[in-house]
Amino acid sequence: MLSVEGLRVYYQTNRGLLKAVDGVSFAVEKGEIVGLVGESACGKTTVAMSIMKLLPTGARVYDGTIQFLGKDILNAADEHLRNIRWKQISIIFQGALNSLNPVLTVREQISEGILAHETVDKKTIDSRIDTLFRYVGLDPARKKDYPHEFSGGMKQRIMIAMALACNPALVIADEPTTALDVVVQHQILDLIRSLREKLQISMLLITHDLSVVAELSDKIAIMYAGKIVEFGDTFQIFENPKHPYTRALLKSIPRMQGSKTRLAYISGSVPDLTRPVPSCRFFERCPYAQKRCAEVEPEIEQVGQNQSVACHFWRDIQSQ
Amino acid sequence: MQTTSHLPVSRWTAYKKGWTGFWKEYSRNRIGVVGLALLTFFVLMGLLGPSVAPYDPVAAVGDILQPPTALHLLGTNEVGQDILSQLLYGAQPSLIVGFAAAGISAVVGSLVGLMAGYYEGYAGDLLMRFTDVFLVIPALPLMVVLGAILGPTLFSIVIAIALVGWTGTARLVRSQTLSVKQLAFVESSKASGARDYYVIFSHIVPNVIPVIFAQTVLVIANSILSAAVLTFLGLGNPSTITWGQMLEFAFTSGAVTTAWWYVMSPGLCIMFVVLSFSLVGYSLDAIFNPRTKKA
Amino acid sequence: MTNETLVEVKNIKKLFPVRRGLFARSRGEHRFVHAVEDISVDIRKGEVLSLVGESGCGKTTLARLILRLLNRTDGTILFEGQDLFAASGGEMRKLRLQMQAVFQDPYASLDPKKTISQVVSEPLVVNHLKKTVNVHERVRESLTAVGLSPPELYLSKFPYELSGGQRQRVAIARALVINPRLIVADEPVSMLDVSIRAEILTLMLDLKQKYNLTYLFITHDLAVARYISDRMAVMYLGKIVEIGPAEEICANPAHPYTKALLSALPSADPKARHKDVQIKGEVPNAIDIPTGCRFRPRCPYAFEKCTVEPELLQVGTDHYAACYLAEEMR
Repeated sequence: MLSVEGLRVYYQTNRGLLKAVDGVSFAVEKGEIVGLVGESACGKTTVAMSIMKLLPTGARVYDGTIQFLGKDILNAADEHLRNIRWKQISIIFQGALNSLNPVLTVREQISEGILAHETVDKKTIDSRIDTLFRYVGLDPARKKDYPHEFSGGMKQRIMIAMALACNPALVIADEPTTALDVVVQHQILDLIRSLREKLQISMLLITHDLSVVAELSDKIAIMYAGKIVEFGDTFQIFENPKHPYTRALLKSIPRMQGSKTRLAYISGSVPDLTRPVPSCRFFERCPYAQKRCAEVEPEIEQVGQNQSVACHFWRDIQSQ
Repeated sequence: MQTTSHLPVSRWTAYKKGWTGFWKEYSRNRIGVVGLALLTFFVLMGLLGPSVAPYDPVAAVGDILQPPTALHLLGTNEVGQDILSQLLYGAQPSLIVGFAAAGISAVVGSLVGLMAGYYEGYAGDLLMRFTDVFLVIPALPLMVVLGAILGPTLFSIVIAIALVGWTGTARLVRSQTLSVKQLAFVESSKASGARDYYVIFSHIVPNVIPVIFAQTVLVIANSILSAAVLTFLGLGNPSTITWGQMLEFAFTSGAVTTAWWYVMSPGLCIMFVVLSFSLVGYSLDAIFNPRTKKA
Repeated sequence: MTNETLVEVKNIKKLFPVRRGLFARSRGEHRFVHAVEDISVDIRKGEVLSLVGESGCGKTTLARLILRLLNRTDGTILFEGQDLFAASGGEMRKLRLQMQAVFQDPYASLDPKKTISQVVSEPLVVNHLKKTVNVHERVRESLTAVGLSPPELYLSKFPYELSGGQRQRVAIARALVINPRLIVADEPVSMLDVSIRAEILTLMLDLKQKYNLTYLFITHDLAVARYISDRMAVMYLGKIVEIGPAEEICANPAHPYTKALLSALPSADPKARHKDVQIKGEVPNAIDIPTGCRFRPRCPYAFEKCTVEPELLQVGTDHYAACYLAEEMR
């Protein structure tokens, strides 16, 4: 469905060229939920924006291809893009709760979205909004209310409804549950799960929260400093993490079950992406670092069905 | 052996880092740099004007209403005075009135804004309603009336302009104070036992000053313009040469239609000074105003 | 109150008036946000007590009341026996030396216009301790203690030059510099990256040992609360609904709300999906509080007795819950 190959997106900053995304490749199959996981500034939001060609000024795609349903969308004409945006691929932005226009009713906003991409009459729009509301668990009668009359969780549902308004094949969700309370988060995750089953949507789920991807995704791509360091089936990643960063990340999450072990952490910080070095980007913080890691950047290699890692020594680490 | 206080070292570093960083960012905006250059030119004119003027501005040194010649680069007026010299002598008072009025505006406005913003509630509301009163009264008529009441001196013009111009700063400072007040470091300071005056002057003011600075530069532009208008209208000290006054004489002597150099010289000067302050002010605003700044 | 109690909260209540405009008040319409409603709890010396709950439950308000950054509506708080709200200005200033705070947002908790050394030395300067204490020495000690070593590297830096994790360390250093007894930490790690959180949490635990500190730790993240705290207090709509040893509450929650919260937590385990959460609807606003037990409208186990608000009942050693069915819940 969606295939990203060798994507490189760099930002022009006053300190130089910031290599935010440096060679990212992954794919989302039909009906799959793929999680793109990483901490702040790893480049995951940039990847999402590139797919929708919504990069801010100063950012440019320097290399790579993005194919949607077999057709290239990076270099596609504006006409083609307009066809795709929202109708085929839609996006739920980060902090979407605040993206609703406070002076328009919800119905007006969703209609706006639909009319921008399709020409349909008012009755069809209304009935579609009703259906959407029912999908996301909201009372259709409330569509004429204003955003401030809804709670945070409900606003997120409205955003999801908007994203589904034109029956897209792929939805990109950027941190869909971050600002929400625990219980509401659970409800939204449940909702996404049921929507996937009902509507067979594919989803690219971007988050820093590993527990969210554990709940929802089929496959996970772990990003660090602009690169994907590990990709694989969700169960595999959690049970058998291969990359040192993935392992460290999993060990640093406080758990609710099990004995209270001392949480591991990763000292140091993310490398400066304006000054790339030939070494592995995780080199300075890696507990297993060797000489080779400082000199040669590991390529991402396939190590199993649907599994890949970018590390020189993953085999040795595994056997430890 | 270290002394018990380390503050001097840090303040100097703060200063240095602050200025170099600031200049780097400011110089990126070409318009701002142009404005600053223009501004420097006029400030120098104000400072050095009288020393470089070729003639005594009040002496009749040439034929009346002569167009620009080699002898009189900007021509002469209807009394035979050299316009260039008048312009150079007139720079000082014109600029000083602007600076002084803006300075008073800034201080009064900032104090009102700070108090209204920090101490909300009845006191704050009262202060803001007081500010609103001044905002509502039309500026020019008020200034003219004040100027007339206070007597024919430059000082009265300064007061007249200041009394009208402080309101914009007050509003801006109040809103900035309100938002800075909510930041965690203010709370932290209070939790450490800081008293109100410390919080206001050590935390809120430094974070509000950049905005005041940007705003004040624009206020200076406005004040210089207002000063020109007021002296044009005949207020202020008639024996001091100011650009506005030069314009007034140009109009009353009927030179508008005949002696373009007479009208354009002070007119263009006023325009360019105001422009330079505005350019600088807008550039500063782009740097300092958190709303226009991109996160 | 025993010798072991550092802070005693007694029936504290805090209401915020809802501003309805000039005329509403004269019509006698008083509406209030019931932020904190009749809470009594002890903070014991040397413990880490966490306040857990969703947004709007009042945990932040309670923390600010303990720090006396807010005025109370009713009830009182004693710090080592001294009434915080009856203390004079001078007494309060002395008391403030004993309790410090670390806040959530590393980007807002440090004055961007001050150098790190100015930031960390502020509590000393503000309390006029410059003459009695070697400020420079203390600042360096504090920075070293939080892992920002060598301190000279950081003294003249500005907050914008440091990362989020480093800024939080500075905030902790500032809290430590006057040797407080109690540190109130309001979501100190929720804005930090996951891999850094563990570092800061570990640091806080180490510092507690080293400096004999007591923590009041506020968070919405139950897993973090479980990791760092000895005791946990679960709050809902302004009241504590369950309080007890952290492990105990996580293993055997006694209040339906706690149970719902625990089951709603996404676990970082793909095998444990599709959990059923026993809770209806969303958190109501704190202005119109339901009568009787606050949790009644959302509780799947509500019955007639719940029309009377339950008190905290003991359900285990040092474990209390405000629910008539608490015993059965466990």
